[in-house]
Amino acid sequence: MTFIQKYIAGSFMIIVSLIFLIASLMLEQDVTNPGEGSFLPAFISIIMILAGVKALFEGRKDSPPSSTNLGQINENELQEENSEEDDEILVVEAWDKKDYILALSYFVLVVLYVISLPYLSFFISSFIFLVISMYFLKGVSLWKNVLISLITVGAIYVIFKVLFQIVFP
Amino acid sequence: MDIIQWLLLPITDVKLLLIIALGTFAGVILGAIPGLSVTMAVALLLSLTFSWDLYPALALMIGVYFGGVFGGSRPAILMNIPGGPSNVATSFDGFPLSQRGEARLALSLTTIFSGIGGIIGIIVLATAAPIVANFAIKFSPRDFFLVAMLGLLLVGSLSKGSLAKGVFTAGLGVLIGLVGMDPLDGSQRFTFGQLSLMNGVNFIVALLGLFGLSEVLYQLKGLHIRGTLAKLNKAITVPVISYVLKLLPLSIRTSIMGVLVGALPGVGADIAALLAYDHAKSTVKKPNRPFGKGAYEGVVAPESANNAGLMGAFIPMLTLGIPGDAVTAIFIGALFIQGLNPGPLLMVNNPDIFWVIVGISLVATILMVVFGLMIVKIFMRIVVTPKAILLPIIAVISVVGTYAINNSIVDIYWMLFFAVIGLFLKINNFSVGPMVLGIILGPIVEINFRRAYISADSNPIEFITGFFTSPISLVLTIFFLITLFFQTPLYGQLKAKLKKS
Repeated sequence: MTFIQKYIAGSFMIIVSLIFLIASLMLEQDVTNPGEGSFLPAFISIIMILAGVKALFEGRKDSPPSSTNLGQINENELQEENSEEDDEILVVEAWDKKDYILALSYFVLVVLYVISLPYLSFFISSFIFLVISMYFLKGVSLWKNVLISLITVGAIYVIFKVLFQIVFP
Repeated sequence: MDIIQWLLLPITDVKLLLIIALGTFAGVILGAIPGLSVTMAVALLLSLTFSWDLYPALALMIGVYFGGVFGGSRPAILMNIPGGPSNVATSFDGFPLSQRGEARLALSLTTIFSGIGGIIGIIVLATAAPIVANFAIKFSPRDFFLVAMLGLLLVGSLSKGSLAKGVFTAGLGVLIGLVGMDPLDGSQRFTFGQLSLMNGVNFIVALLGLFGLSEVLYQLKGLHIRGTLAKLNKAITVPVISYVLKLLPLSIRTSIMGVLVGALPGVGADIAALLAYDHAKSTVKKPNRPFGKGAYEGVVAPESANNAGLMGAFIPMLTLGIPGDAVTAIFIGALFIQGLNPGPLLMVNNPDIFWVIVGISLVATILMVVFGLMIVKIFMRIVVTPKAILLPIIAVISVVGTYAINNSIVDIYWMLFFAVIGLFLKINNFSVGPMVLGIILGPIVEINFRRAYISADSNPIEFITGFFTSPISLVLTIFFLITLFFQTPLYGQLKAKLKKS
């Protein structure tokens, strides 16, 4: 467990809460008057900052493999007990570099898809996006990939158009 | 007479009936695919049924919701992977049953008892909600503030992850809910100079980012992990009817528990299911096998309770306008979109909506049982749908669904923004549910807080004493303080306790 992983959650919490606290203080209102629009947001931001500080301490006490409270400590113990048959979805594991890169690059792909939408129309860009996605994520043969992509785009179009009367980009 | 007419509308109106059937069927299938959450499905539907009339939209969403929670028990039994948080407890005994070759029996029992749980839930909803609503009409803004805060408090503390993180996500949700125009004086808040934020953050856009795309990105980790599928080899050799009769008392008990737990603001079907499993373990002295090794009681209790819990969550939603969990928060969003104001006056001004919802729920529950018993083979195929196919499709639907709300590309970029936030939160063990509840509850908390303060002549002392002098407020305040005091990460403890033994 690296330094960043230990403190990132708490720091994120404090930074976000601070932004909202400052934003509430900058509203030209009397922040001490509970009847005005800035009191409650400021109050909530302060509670959130406290929560962030608590999370920082929790992070410091953390021992690998990542556990932040009682519930999760138990969960990790349990996983050791029956690690062989345990269900993968519930396993709380820290993300490693490979996972971050995969998620980030897939996100970039989605962003490219969204950018292409107005230029290529829903059909073409969605089809291309699906084919590239399945190729990128591996495990699907090429002909199956193209077939599924075609059917999906067609099905989404028909269902959404007929059932939901949606305008497509 | 009117009531019966409204109740029967989902049967007499063929179009409505077909929509419920479609929704329930889709829900059962979607819920059975691990990785497709019910919340995600209902959120998507909300964006798609934007232009629909109220009844069909509700019918589709309720169908998918019920079907989805039920469908989640299929992979829990067949692969030891719960389809959703409400089905976690089902896997404790469901999968051992499958390993013993009794998958078919487990699937049938859970189907029947999900139906029984649902029907008991509906009966309680139909009888309790009008009473609660009558009572809730007397609520002052201060009381609404207390109930909404209670909801936030419970969801923050009950969700997985640490208490601090739960409080933070709930708070962040509230602040996001407050972005845009101040409802009382019309000034702009937290728009950070963005013109597109003037009308606030679009709830559905946030939902699709937090539950749709971010879930896709999150599940890229462990993409090629697949559960081992149990075999359906053995046909049912035991008489199901006698088992049903034997397990009925337990099912009724856990169903009633489920409704009551589900009715607490901020507590949903997932907690109800875990508590029911705990209850079954401590009260059933002679299960057919020890719990955790394939006890029928161990699958019947949580599955009765989670479907009953769904109906319980509808009680605060329809009577107070306070959501019980993330999905009911979406339903409240749907009612807002239709120009309705969910709250105690909904039952007075639009009693038809309440009774039609009860009717839809009843039809959806019955159809759920029918579909569940009819299709068994299909489940064996869909629970193993490769994620490499599933995730890109969800990504496309999230994007198209976001666009569909306002025909706006800008909305899609906001959705991407929320997807990144959601991914970050999930990686760091925050749960996203409290945030959604916060977005819906934020404006409710704020406006009632300020109204209560102003109606106390803006006098802090008078405002605070008000919490203790009015009888309704006093009860709620005591309840709130007790909850605050005994705050524990209950969900994790409960789950751990149950799994350990």
